[in-house]
Amino acid sequence: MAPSPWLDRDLLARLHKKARADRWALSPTAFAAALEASVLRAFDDLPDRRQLEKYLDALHLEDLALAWACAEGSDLAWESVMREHRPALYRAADAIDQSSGREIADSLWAELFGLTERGGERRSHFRYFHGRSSLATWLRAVLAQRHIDRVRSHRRLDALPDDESAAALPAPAIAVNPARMRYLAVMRSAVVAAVAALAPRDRLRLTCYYAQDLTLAQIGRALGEHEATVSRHLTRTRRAIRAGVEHELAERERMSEADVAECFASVLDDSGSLDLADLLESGPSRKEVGPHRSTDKETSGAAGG
Amino acid sequence: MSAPDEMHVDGETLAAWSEGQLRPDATARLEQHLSDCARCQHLLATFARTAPAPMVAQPLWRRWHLQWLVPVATAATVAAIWVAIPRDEQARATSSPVDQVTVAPQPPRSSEPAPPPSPSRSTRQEKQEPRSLAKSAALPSAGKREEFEREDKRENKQDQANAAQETGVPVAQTPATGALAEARERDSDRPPAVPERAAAAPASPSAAAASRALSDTQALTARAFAASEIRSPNSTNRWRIVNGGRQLERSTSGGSQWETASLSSPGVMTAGMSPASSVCWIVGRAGAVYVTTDGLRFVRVMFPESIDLVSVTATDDRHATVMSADGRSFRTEDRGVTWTR
Repeated sequence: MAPSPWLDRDLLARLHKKARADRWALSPTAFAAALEASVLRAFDDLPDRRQLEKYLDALHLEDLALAWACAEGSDLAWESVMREHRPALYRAADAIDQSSGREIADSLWAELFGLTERGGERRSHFRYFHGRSSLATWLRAVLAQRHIDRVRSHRRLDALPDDESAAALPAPAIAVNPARMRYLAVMRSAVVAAVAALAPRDRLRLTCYYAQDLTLAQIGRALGEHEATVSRHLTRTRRAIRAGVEHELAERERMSEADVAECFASVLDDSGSLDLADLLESGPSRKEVGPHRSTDKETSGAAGG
Repeated sequence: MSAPDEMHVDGETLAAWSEGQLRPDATARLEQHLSDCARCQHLLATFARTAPAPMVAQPLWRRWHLQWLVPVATAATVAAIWVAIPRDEQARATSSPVDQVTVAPQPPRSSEPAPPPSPSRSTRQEKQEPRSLAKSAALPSAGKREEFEREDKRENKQDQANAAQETGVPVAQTPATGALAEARERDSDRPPAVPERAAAAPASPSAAAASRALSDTQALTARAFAASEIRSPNSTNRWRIVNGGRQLERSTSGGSQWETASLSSPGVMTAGMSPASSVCWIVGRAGAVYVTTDGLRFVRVMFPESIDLVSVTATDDRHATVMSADGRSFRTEDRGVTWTR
């Protein structure tokens, strides 16, 4: 494995030292391969020298050395990972799913160790760690991905649930006056439009909170924000939706103020028919979301905003 | 590469993004995708749930956000009790913020008498320490005279309490309810919705009865706190609630040395239980439930009601049953994410 032209001896030596790769007896050549893989992962085109050094220096170099030393088969490194990371991985697995979480963690662990051989060569999954996050975060994320892949592949095998659009649902529920039904339909499309107009990150927070039922703290940690910030953004976003809906109703539907008020009232009365979680998420996890909770929040949010 | 990241977000990219390590263009692309893709939102949610317990959790406004209906129910009780408390109790009540302030900077105590400490001795220590701190803090500042006077007032009251205790007031309470009463007595700005001593002091309109009950409970709780040491199964790890339920200490030496445990969003604590050497559950007033898995950092978990809690039994760091002051029990099997009656 020849070192890349951009990774000169000095730079490599410096990073190797910074990563304390000697602890695991990880050779500079092997470490160079780790760095190279990381750079290839992050950049489509090779950046200039300054940018490159900045990137490399920002990596979690110690974790990178540890992971690749494991992949190289260093017993010391492996022991360290067992001690430092294995318990956390299993805690995370329990948090995902009490029953199947352990199984996923077990199989991930086996892959990290390199039990599954490809073409006769033992290949550790640690080679997919690129130091762009801490090793602990990476392990959690990979575990989460395994879980999702598994859930989705199971779902594909199951008979397809009738995943009809929620728009079809309100009709049979109550045979009320047609004006009200129209309000609901109008309201729904207005909310959809308002949500679609949001910035991605705002929409993401909204989804996390209302559709995925995460706590503010969890959202904050995932997005790298303080939970107070998340809360503030959510409040602002709710207001934006409210304003967007009002605007939509007034401009596009040419509704009078009284009609707009009536529109909002219709949603408040009949909370079952307009679920923000449904609107936010076309996907299959909808069923895991209690409709009442999110509608309550949606309507109180709209009324309060 | 391990996964096609243009289509869906893979674990490695998600981890990098969550730690802010992606470049701006990649971040924007990813967020755009995340905000529209149900699969990746699910991934993000799963990932977020695996995050280790946070240092800070659930500040007050979060609870109010979800439970804005609850305080309405308690408001009436607040008024009733406020009326029932005689004037000097009110003065004491208003002085509670001072208490809080002066107690805060207290350093972890390193040497303590061997367990179990005799009730009167340890309460005196606990009460005198913050007080002297408060005095020394108040002295240089002339503008703090008012606080100073309040301190004096409280001092008197505490002497009375200690005297009462030495004459031997019959103990008719569990430590938990005693602690609760003490807690309420110490800052009655938001008393519990349900009177915990239904027989003795049912929030009666009689001021005399109320004040008698209060001085009783004060003496009793002094004892209760000294006794409320929470031992882990291995008994070298212990916790205790001090400072009228405002502070929590941990010992890993069987009680010979104590250090202050950190609480996310502090409240007033009443009782606790430790099912394993480094796991401890603590409950308190206004729906406060804390749990630690490292023995020292306590994280507040969600509780559905803003009701005073008096006891907790736990079998591990996820399963616990708490008892409220009005005798209801709530159970969680996922460390407080969900509760069932």
